[in-house]
Amino acid sequence: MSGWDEGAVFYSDQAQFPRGGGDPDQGSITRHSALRKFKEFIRGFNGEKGDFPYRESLVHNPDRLTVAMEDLDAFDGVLADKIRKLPTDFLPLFETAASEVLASLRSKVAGETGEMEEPVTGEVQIFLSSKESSVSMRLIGAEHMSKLVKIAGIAIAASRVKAKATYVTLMCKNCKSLKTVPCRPGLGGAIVPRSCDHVPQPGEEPCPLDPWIIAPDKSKYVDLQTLKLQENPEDVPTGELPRNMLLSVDRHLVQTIVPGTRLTVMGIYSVYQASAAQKGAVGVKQPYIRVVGLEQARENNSNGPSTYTLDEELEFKEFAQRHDAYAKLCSMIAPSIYGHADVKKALACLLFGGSKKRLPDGVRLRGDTHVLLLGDPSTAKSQFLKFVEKTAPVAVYTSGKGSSAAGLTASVIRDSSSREFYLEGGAMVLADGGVVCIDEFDKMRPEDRVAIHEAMEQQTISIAKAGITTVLNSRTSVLAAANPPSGRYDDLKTAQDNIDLQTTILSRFDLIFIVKDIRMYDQDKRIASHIIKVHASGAVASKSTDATEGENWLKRYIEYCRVTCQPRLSEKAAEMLQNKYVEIRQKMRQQANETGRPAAIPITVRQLEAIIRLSESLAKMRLAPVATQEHVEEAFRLFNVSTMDAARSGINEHMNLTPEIANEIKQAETQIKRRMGIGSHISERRLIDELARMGMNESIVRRALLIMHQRDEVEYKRERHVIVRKA
Amino acid sequence: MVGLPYDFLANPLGAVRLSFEKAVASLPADADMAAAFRGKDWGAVDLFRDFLFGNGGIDQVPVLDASTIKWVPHNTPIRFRGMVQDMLGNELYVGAFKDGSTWRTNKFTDVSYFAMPPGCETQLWDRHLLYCVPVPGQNSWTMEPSASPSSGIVSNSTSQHGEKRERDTQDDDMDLNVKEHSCQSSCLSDNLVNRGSGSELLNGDSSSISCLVKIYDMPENDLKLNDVFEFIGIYTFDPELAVHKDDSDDPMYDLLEDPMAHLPPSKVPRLHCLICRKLAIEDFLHNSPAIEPLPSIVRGIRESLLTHLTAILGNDGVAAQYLLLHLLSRVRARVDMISVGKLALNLIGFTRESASIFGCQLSEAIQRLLPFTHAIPLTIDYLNNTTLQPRKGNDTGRLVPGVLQLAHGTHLTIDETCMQSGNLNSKGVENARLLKHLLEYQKVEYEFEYYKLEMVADVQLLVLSEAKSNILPADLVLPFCPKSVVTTHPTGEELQAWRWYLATMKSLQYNTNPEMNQMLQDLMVAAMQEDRNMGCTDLNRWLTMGELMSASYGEKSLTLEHWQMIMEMERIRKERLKERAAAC
Repeated sequence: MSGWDEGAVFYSDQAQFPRGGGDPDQGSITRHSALRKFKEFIRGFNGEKGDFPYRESLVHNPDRLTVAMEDLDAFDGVLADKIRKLPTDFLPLFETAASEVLASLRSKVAGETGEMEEPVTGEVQIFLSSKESSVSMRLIGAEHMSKLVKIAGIAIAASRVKAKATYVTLMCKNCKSLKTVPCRPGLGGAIVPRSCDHVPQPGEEPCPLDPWIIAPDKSKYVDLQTLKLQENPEDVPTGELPRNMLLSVDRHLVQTIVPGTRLTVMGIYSVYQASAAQKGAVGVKQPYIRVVGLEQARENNSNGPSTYTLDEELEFKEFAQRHDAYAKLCSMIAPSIYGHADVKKALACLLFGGSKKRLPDGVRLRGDTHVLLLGDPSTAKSQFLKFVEKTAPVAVYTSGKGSSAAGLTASVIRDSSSREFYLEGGAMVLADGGVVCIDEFDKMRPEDRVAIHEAMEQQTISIAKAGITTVLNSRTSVLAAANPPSGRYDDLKTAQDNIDLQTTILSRFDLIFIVKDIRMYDQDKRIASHIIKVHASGAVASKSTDATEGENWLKRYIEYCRVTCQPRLSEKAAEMLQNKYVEIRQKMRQQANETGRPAAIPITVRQLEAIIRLSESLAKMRLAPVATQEHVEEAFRLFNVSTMDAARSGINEHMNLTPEIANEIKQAETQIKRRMGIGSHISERRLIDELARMGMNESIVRRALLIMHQRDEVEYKRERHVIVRKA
Repeated sequence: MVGLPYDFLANPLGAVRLSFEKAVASLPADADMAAAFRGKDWGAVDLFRDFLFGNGGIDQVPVLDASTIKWVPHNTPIRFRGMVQDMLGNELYVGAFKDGSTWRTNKFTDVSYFAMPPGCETQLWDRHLLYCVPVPGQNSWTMEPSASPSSGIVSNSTSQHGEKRERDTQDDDMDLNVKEHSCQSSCLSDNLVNRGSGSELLNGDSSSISCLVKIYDMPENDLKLNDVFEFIGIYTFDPELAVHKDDSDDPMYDLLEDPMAHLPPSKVPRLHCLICRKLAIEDFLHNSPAIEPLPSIVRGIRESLLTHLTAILGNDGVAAQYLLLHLLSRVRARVDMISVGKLALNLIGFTRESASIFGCQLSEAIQRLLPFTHAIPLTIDYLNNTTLQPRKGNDTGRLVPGVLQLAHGTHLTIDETCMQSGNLNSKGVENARLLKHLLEYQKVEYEFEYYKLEMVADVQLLVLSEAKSNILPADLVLPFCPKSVVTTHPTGEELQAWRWYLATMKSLQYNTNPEMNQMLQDLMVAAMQEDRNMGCTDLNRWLTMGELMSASYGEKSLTLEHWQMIMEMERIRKERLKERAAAC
C-alpha cells in the first residue's frame, strides 16, 4: 500500500491546508495532474549524461528513491514549489507515483520474459536532497509550519524503534462493525470518531458515544524513531546555548543514525500536542521535524566540523590560488604576537603537516612535523603553544613539569623547597591525529621523555600497566617549548650547554628554533606600541568577533587542506634536495673537524625527511598536489634559520675575542678565585651578584665561569645552582 | 490617562485582552491575522510601560522572592531579578483562536481565559523560554530594596539572611556570612565548602526561587546566557495544579521528553515577561546615597576604603593598594586571546593560621563590598568531587549548572591554603584545567557531550596561597605581610559609599590620548631596555594596573602620576618577592 502517509483530509490542526487547494497565481495543480507529473518526472527526467537516473535508481533499489530538488526544479518549477510549500500533501503523491512507475517498469520486464506474473508493487520511500544551504535552527518559527526546511546539527540522542500505526482499524464495542481510520503522519495520532455510524436496526441497542476500540492486529504499521538534533557548535551565536530540535524518521531511515553524528536534514516542520506535563498550559505545541531526507557528514572523526559547503570549498580553493596565500596564512598565525616571522612559518608547516607515506615493506613514515622552540623566558613561546592548541583541529596542551607520557591519573605535588604546588597531569591522552603542545619540555622527567621518543618517531606509545603492555597509536605532531638550563639563552655558551637535551631527542625535531629575546630598541618600541594599541582598542570597542572569525576560518582551512590534499615531491625538487643534503653534510663534517667536537644537533637522514615534510606542508597550504622546487627552497630556508642555526651556534663564534674582553675575563677569573677558596661552594647567583657589585659585567663573569668549568677548575652542583671550586 | 478601563495591578490579562480586541477591531476586514500580530506587539506592552514607568506603577509591583511567593496572587504583575541560567528555546503556542466569530488571544498566559472550542481556527505564535535563577553568590545586602534600615550592617545582613534561607532549614549551616568571632582555624574553608554545595542546590529544586520566564517578541540576541536581568511580567504559579502524571504515557514519546517536564508549573513559577531590562551592579545598590562623582569626594571615599582594606589586611598597605585595583578590574575587551583589563591577584605567604584570621576577614569584607561573591576552597577533595563545569544534560534537555556558571562581574576567591599533596581523578584534572583557563582567558568551557562550547566570563579572581600558586598562575603574585590583627567595624554609610564607589569606578569608560600613549611607549621601552626579563605580559599588566589606578581616582585616562604610583608599587612587590626567594 503506497501513500501510507496520505493524510490530506486530516489536517484540521494544520491551518495551512485549506488554502493549499489552489493558489491561483501558482498555477493550480490538482492532485491528479500532480500525480501524473510526478510519474513523468520519474520516468522521463534526463540526467546530465542523457540517462534516466530516477528510473534506473528505482529499478536497482525498488524500495527507495532519492530525488534532488534541483532536478525537480529543472523539470517543473511549480511542482518543486508545491513540494517545498505543501510537502505533507504532495510528498505522498510523489510516493504513490513512484510505486506506480515501479509497478509499470516491473510488468514490462515480466512481459518480456514471457511469464505473465502480477508484479508485486512495493512501497517506495522518497528521500529529498538539496544543495541549498541549511537554515539555522533559530530562524525556524511558526511561519515555517508545514513547510520543507533544511537544517544541520549533531544527533545527540536516538530513541528505540517503535511501530507507528498508519491505519488504525477500529471496532465498535456494540455492533462489532469495523472502521479503518488513517493516522496523521509523523508523531500525530489517529482521530477517532466519537460515534459509530452504524444505523441501529429496530430492537437493536443504539451504539453509545465513544464506542470504538482499537484492533491492533488489523492495523497497519511502519517503523518510527525519534532523534534529537542539537545545533552545530559553530552556528551558535556567542553567549547563547545551542538549541535542540526533535526529529522523527521512519521506514528506511530508522536506525541509520548513531548519536554523535553530524547531520543535514530535510524535513517538514510540524507540531504535535505536547505531553502530559504541559496539560496545565493550554495550546502549547511541541515542534518537530518529520525527516524526508537526511545526509550524514563526511565520515572522518565525528569530533570536528567536517562538512564544507560549496561556497566554503570554493573560497578555500580561491584562497589557495592567491599568490600571497603563504604570507597571508603566516600572518594569521598568532597575530597577537609581535615578530618571530620564521617561527610563525614553522608553526604553519606544523599545523598543515606533511604527507604520510607507507613504504612497500610496510614501514610507515610520519607526515607530522615536530617543532621545538628553545629560548629565553617571556618570548611568547607559551603563547605560540596556546595558539596552536586553539587552532589545530585536535590538540592537547600540557606542561612538561607535570606530565607523564601516558598515565591515567594525575596528582598535586608540592615542591619541597619552594612549597609551591604543581599539578602533575598524567591524563595526557595524546591527541591522535593532532598536535601535542608540551611547554617546559626541559623540565620533563627523563623517563617520560623516553616515551615521547617513541611517540615522535614510531607514532605509538607503549603503556605497561598491571602487567599488560599495550601499544596505542599516537600519530601526533609535537610542538615543544624549552628554556635553556640557565634560564636564559646565553650567547657565550656552546649550543650543547644551552640546549641541554639529548641529541637523540633533538634529532627528532624537524625544526628547532632558538627564540632569542634580542633587545633592540626598535623592536621594544613596536612591542610597547602594540600593547598600547591592544588596550586602546579595548577602550573604543571590542572587535574581538573579527579576530575569532579569522581564527575559525583558519581552523576550517587547515582541516580542509589536511583532509583533501596529500602532496608529493616533484622529481626536480627531489633532485635539488639530494644535492643540498650532501652539501650540508659536508659542511657539518668540516665544522666538526675544525672545532673538534660533534655538532649539537646532528644532521642525518632524519633531517632530510624533515625537509621533505616541510616542503610537502608548504605545498599543502596552497592545495598543490606536488611540492615544487620553490617549496623545497623555502623549506631549506626555514631549516637553515632554525635547526642549522642552532647547530652552528656555539663555540666557534666566540673564539675570536677582543683583547679587552679577554682581559676582563681574566680579571673576573681572578676575582672568582679570590672569592672562593678551593673546596668551597657558593650559589652562582650570589657569586654573580657579588661580582656585579664590584663592577663586573654579568656576562663576563658567566663566561669566566664557563672557561673555568671547561678547565675543570669549578664544578656545578644542584642543577647548576651551586658552584664548587675544585682547583 | 484617566478613565482607562484597565486595572493593571489586579487584572493585567484583562488589559491584554481588551487591547487585543481593540487592535483586532481596528484591522481591515480582510487583513491576515498571522501577518498582523505574529511576533508583534499590538500595543499591550506600551500600555504597561506607560503604567509602570510613566505613572510610577513600578513601585506597586511586588518583587518575587521567598516571602512574596506566599501571597502574590496568580495572574498579577510581578518583578523578578535573576540570572539567565538556561535557554530552553522556543515554544509554540496557540496565540490566537477564533471563538465563533471573535478572535481571542492567549498571549501572556498559559491558561486560556475563554475555553477553546475544538477544531477552531488558530494562530500559532512562538515565545522564548528562559530559566532564571537568583544570581549565584548574590550577597544578602543586595536583596531587600526597602526593608530593614541600614544601621548595624552585621545584624542586618544576618537577619535578612535567615529570612532568605528559612525555606530550607537544613541549609542553616549554609549561611553565607562569616560569623565574625567564631572564626576557627578552618572556618573559611568550611564556609567555602558549604557554599559550593549550596550553588549546586540551585538546580531546579523547589526551595530556591527560580523562575521560568517566557519572553515575547524580543530579538533573541538581546538576552544572553548568564546575563542578569529584571523581568516585569505576569506571574503564574499554581502549586495546586498537580501534574497529571500520565502513567499510560505513550512509550512512543520516550525521547520527546521536553525540559518542561522537569519544571512543572506546580513547582516552578512562570513569568510572562512584558518588559525586561539588563541590570548593572549599580542596580543592586539600594537606598544608595546620591553621591556626586566629584573628584574630591571620590578621593575621600578612596582613602577611607583603602584604610579599611589596609586594616583588614593586617596593616599591609601595599597589599591593600593591590587589592583595590583588583576589586576594580573587569574585562574591558578581548583582543585575540588577551582579555584586556583583568587583574587576577595571588596573595602568597599565608599559613594556616594567618589564612584563618586574614582570609576570613578578607572574604567577609569582599562579601560586604561586592554584590556577587563566591569562594572556592582548593583542596584535592574539592577538585575531585565538585562540578565546576556547567554541562548540558542531553537526557533532560537542561543545562546543569556548575560552580563556574557565574554572572559577569562576580568575584571569586580561591583559597589554596588547605591544599595537600594527593591524587586527582579525571574530574579533578578537568576542574583544575577549567579554573586555570578561566583565570588566564576569562572563558569557561561548557560541556555538551559531543562538543564543548566556550562562554566568555568576567570574573575577578583572588587566590590565597602559601607559595605561588602554579595551579592558578595569576597576573600578580604578591607576598602578603600582615603586621598586626586589626578589627574594623565600618558603619553602614561607609559601606554604602564604598559599594557605590566600587560599582561606579569599575564601570568607568577608559579613554586613551595619543600624547600619553607616546609617553607610555617611551617609558615601556626604557623599562625593557633596563631589564631584559621584561616581556609582553609585564607591560600588559602595568598598563592594566595604570588604567585601574586612574579609575580608582575616578579619572578616565591614565596620567604620569598614576604610572609612577604603579611603578613604585611594582618595585615594592619585586623587593618582597626577592626577599621571599632569598628566605627559601
